[in-house]
Amino acid sequence: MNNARNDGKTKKKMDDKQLSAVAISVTVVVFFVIYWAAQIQTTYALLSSAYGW
Amino acid sequence: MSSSSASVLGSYQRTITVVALILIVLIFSFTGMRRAVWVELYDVFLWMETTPFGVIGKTWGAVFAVVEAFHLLAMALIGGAVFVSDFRLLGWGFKDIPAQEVLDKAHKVFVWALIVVLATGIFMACGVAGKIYWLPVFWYKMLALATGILFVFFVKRPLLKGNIDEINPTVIRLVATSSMMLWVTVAATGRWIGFAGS
Repeated sequence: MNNARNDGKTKKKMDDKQLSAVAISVTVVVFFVIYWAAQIQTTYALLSSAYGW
Repeated sequence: MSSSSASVLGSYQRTITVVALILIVLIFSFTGMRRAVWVELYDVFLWMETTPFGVIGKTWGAVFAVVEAFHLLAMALIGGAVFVSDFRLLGWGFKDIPAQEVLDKAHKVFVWALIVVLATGIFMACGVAGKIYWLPVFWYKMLALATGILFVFFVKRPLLKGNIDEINPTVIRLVATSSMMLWVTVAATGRWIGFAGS
């Protein structure tokens, strides 16, 4: 059965377009969060070694 | 393969393609393939500096500066188009205008701005090819730009062309967030290139 009833609401299965959007969006968010966190960390390390923070 | 599993694969063709592409990019990035391609591209970047674009960009700083000005203006337009449409999707603004109208108009601006960004970007890359080749941030920008373009034309637009009310709100929020993240990264890494390695 494709649809499951839960508390009177019908939960529909995500279609192909939505599922592909979730796949790429999650990948993008995870990748760039890691990328920018690493950049901030290295910048902080550089500044702390330069100014003794 | 049974006919039911074949029909499941058929109905999720787009998702399978996206996941396969993500895996290919990850395998490419974390194996020796990335370095091998990077080494092979060195001659291409040397050639870029010898093209008329490269010679003009290196010889006349004023021409480079004017082209860069248009590049930045077009990037600002892209940023505006992305933020307007994504803010509308997140419900943070322009609520009095139908979402589809905002998305369609913003997309038109986005496409023209993207053409200008790519044209001016190629010119500028030729002028500083010997520098950007060695900058990791340039390659991250190219990764974000390529992902952003594919994301807009093969995921975001097809998804939002239909009735937006039928789309899961969490999916819409996720798409808007990742879209802003992608284009902010494109802009930030682009400016970073200007400061790096000089």
